[in-house]
Amino acid sequence: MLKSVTIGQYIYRDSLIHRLDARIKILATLIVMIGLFMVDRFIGFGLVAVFVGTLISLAKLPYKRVLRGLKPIIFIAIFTFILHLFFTPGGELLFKIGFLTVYEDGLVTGLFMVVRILLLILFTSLLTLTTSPIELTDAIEYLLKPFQKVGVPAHELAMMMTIALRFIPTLMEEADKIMKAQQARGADFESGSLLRKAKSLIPLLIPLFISAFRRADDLALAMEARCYRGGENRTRMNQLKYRVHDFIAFGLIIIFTVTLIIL
Amino acid sequence: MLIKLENVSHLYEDQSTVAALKDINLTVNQNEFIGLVGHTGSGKSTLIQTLNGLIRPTRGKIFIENEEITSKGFDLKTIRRKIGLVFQYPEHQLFEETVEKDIAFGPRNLGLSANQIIDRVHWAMDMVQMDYDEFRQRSPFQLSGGQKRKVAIAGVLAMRPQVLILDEPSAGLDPMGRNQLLQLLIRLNKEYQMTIILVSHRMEEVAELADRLLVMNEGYLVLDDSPREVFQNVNLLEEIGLGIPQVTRLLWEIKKRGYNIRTDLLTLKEVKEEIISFTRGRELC
Repeated sequence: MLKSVTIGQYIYRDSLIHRLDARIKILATLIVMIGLFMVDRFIGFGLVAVFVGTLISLAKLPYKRVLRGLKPIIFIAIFTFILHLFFTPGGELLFKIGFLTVYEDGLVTGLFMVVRILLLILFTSLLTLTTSPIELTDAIEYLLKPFQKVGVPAHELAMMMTIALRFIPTLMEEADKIMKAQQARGADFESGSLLRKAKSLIPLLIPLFISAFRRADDLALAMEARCYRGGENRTRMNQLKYRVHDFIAFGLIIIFTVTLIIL
Repeated sequence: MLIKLENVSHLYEDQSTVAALKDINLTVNQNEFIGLVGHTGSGKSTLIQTLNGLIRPTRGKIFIENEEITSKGFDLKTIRRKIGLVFQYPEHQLFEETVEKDIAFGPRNLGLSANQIIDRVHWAMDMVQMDYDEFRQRSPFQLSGGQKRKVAIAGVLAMRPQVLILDEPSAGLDPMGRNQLLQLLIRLNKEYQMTIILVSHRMEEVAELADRLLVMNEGYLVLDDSPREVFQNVNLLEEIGLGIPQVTRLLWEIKKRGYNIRTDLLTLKEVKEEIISFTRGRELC
């Protein structure tokens, strides 16, 4: 049952987008996000939608999978829509039911906001869909480096993220094992009231935490035994290097965003 | 018969490294002591998990005391009280504040009365040779590895299952701990008529204890016979990466060099006697 949980949403493909430097992808995502917030007409959204569509096919991703990523935020989108719909006065009065009134401006802003949220999520999900978690942490470490002078522990943060990612599958497996062992002792994780269900998790969580701490201890010891020391002068296995197509892609993104804002 | 498997197959959706089961037919009778051996990934663990309903096989039927547990809507909890399963490294599943509470977890889930639970805990601790008064209030996390293992095994024993399945229970124990554990299994089998299924990597261990041996390879049940007969298949066993007991190996080597010696002996004692009687009255070297 725990096996169905997938970590991250990275889909491996051999494509131009996948090969782009992760740092460029993170920066580009940030820039386009800012652009999206500055768009004030529907035509801008149209442009972004076409752009996202092009990127998806360039990255050889299945449209369905990408769109499925929107599922979790549908509720938020609908909620936003309703809020704007009823509470934005202005324009023509469209209709009125009891104390609820809907104005033209409300409808327009509601739609506007929903489209903006959906595009925002869709676009940012492209980053995690085309970049492996390891590349991402490497890139984040690199991008955070300038802030090290003001005390941001860039390397340590990246190391923590890498280790956490590495151990998710291990802990999943462990949880599955402990769950089975407790079930063999008659534990019931499925039925009963919410309170009982929460209580029944104790026999699972305590052993899981203990083993997580034990693993952390072992790992720390193993790293120390091999003289691990982060920070200065530490080289890495995969060096990040900008190549020509990274600069071209970055240039295109800037041009695109500027057009978006001017529109 | 107690347990019966009919054409049981199991496939994992993700086709992972965990082994599948392929068309297993098997019956287990009351009070048998069965050894289950196989290479890592041969399907042993999957097989024992299907036996108490933790894994529902994709095909085939499993009967326990003539009840089909693979049928839809069958309450698997009733199986858990009949079949006890001790996983590999069972000490990793301890979670309660005291040894007593942890061992009582199983019986409590069975819905027994407070008195019955105390009796069961007391009995289970006696069986694993832990002093009830000394250990019951201790935290399981402050015990040594071997003691933790005992508590975990007692936790399953306290459910008084008819069948006890153990997955590599002696892994990582010192020789004394291992010996104690094996003695316990013999006692449960002889005195309490428990059916035991012992999964092990150590051929000596199963050769000595089990009266029936199951050998698995790549999801198939390839051999099912008495240890004596099973270990006659030296070539097959070595092909699938399993050995034979060292003393039996010795007899085979002697035979290979042209001497007419018995090879169907498994324990040190038997082999010693065979070699002594073989060499008697013979000029050697």
